[in-house]
Amino acid sequence: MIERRNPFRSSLVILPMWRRWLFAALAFLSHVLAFIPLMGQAGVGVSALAIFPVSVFGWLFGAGGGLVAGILSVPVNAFLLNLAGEPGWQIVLGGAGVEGSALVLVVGSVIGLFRDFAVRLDSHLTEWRRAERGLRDAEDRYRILFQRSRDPMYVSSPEGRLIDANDALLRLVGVGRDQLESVQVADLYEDPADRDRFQEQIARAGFVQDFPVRLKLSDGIVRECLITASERYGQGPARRVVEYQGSIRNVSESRTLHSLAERRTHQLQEVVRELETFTYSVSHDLRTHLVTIGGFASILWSEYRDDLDPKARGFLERIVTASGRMDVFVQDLLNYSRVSRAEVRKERVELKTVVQTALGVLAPAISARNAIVEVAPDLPAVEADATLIDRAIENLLSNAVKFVPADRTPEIRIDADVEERRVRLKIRDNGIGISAETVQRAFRPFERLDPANFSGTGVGLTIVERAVERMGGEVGVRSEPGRGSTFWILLPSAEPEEFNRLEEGEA
Amino acid sequence: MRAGGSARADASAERVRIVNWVLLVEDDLDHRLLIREVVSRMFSGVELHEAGDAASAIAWVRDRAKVKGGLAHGVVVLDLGLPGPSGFHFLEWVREHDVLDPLPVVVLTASENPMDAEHAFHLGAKGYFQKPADFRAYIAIFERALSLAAPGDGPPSSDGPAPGTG
Repeated sequence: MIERRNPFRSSLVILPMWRRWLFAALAFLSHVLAFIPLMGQAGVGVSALAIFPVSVFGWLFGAGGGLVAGILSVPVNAFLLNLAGEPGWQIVLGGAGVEGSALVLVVGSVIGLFRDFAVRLDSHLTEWRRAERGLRDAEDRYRILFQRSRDPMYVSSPEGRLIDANDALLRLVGVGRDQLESVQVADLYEDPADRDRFQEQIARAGFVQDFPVRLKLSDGIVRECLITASERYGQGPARRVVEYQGSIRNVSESRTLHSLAERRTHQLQEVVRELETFTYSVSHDLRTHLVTIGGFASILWSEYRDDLDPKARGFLERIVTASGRMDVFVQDLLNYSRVSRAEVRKERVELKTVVQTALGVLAPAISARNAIVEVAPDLPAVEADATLIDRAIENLLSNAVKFVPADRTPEIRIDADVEERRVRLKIRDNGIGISAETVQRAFRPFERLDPANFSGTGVGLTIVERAVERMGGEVGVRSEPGRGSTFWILLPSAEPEEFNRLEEGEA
Repeated sequence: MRAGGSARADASAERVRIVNWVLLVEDDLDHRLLIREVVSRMFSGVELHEAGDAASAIAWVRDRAKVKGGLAHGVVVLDLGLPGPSGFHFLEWVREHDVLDPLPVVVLTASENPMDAEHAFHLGAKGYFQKPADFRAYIAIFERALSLAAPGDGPPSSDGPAPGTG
C-alpha cells in the first residue's frame, strides 16, 4: 500500500542489522529447541531441519551469510546429536550425513544469492523509478513554462510543419490546437523569401536571433515579428536536424508606437522651427518700424529739442527712451531666435580668446562700474560653436557686471576646471545672487528677478541656456543671495587625446 | 545740439572729402528719408542717390560707369530685403562685372543675421551693419562706410581712405 503511494520506496523489506541478528538467533534457537523432542519421533533425519536457520541466515545476510551458516550447521548438528545420545560426528561425517550437510549448505547459499539479486534489482528499480519521476517533473515544469509563456513559442519540422506550439502562438496564428497539424509554416510568411533566408541562416549558424520577418496571420493582418530559433539534432551519430524550436516576438505594436513617437517628435520640431522663424520675422519687422520711430525721434531730440516747449520735450524724451528700451528688447529676441536657429558648427575654441573678446565688448560697462575682473591664466580649449559660445559668455559676463548693487565694486573671477573630458568654466561675481526658490525661474525667457533695481529684458540667461544646450553642454548656477553667484558652463574638452594618454598610462 | 552736430560734421569732413557720392538702395521710404537727413546734416558735400530696388540700382551703376571714373569716390549702401531681386542679387551682379570691381558695397539691414552677413561678405560686401534706432548711431556707420569708398583715379586719393573710427 505504502509502496504504491510512494514509488521511490523499495518494495523489499531490508531490516536493520540488529533485527537481522535477532531473527537469525530466534531461527537458530527454535531449531535447537525443536531438535531434541523431534529427535525422539523422527530419528537422526531431524538434522535436516538445519535447513531452516540456514535459509533464514541466507535470506537475511545474503549468499555469504547462507554459506557460513551452512558450514556452521555441520558442527551444530553433530553437537545436538551428541546431546540426544547419538554419535554426532560419525553421523554427520558419514554417508548420507555428508550429502545432507552439503544440501543444507547449497540451499542456504542459493537463497542468499537470490536475496542478493533481489536487493540489487530492487535498488535498480528504485533508481529507475526516481529517474522516471524526475523526467516527468521536468517535462511538466517545462511544458507549463512553454504553455503559459506570453511569447509565442513553437517546435516545427524541417519540412515546415508545426509539431508543437503554445497557446500564445495559436492565438497569434489564429488556429485551434486541433488544427495545429494542418498549419503550413511557409504560409505564414508574407514574403516566402523570408523563410528561405531564415533556413539559410539557421543552417549556417545553427540559430537565428531576432530575425525580422513579416508574418501574415489568419485575420489577414501582417505583423512585424522577430524570431529567435535554433535547430535541434537527433540522437543518432548522423546528428540530423530533427526540428526547429523558437519563439516569436510580435513587435508591430512597439514599432507602431515608435513610429508614432517619431512622427510626433518631427511635428513638434516643425512647430518649434515655425515658431522660431515667426519670432525672427516678427522681430525683424518690429525693428524696421523701430528704426523709423527711434531714428526720427532722435533727430527731433538732438536737432529740434530747443524749439519745443518743456511739456513737448518731456513727451519726446519718453518716446526716445521707450524706443531705446524696445530696441534692446527686440535685439534680445533676435539674439535668442538666432541662437535657436543657427547651425551648430563645433570646433576647437580657446576659452581664453572667447573671454577676452567678451571683455572687449563689455569694456564700456566694466569701466563704468570700475569692475575688477580676474581671469585665470590657463583657460583650456573646448569643443564648441564659436558664435554660440561668444553669445553665452558675453551674456554671463554682462550679468556679472550688471547685477551688483550700485554701492559695491563688481569683482568677477573667471576660471575653469577640467573634469573627465569636460571643461567647467566658472564665472563668479559678488552681485545680488539668486535665491534657491527663484533659481529655476532665472533661465526662463522674460523672467526678471529684480525688475525694480535692474533694467533688462530677461532674455539673457535664456540665450545662455539655449546656446549651451545647442552645443550639447550644461549650464547652472550656485548662488548665495546677497553675496554673489557662480554661473558655470560645462562643455566637452577639446583635448581628448591628452586624457586618452592618461588612461593608457594608468592601464 | 545743432551746433554739436555741425562740429561732428566738420570732424568728418576730412574723410568725407574723398567721397563724392553715395548710392542708397533702400525700399523703405521712411528709412530713405532718415538716411537722407543723416547724410545732409552730417556729411555735407556728399551726393546721395537713391534707388528703390536692385534693378534700378543696377541701371544707375551702369549709367554711372559710362563716365570715366564715374564710379570712383563712391560707395553703395545696400538694404538686403528689397522688392523683387534681393540685395544679394545686386551684390552678385557687381561681382560678375569686373570693371566695377573697385565699387564698394556695404550692407545696411534692419536686423543682422550671421548667415546673411556671411553670405554678403562671401559675395564681396565690404561691410555689414544693422540700422540703428538712433540717428546719432548712423554717423559712426557712415564714417565706416564712406571710408571704404574707392579711391579711383580722381584727384584726392593717393593717401587712401582715412581709417574709420570703428
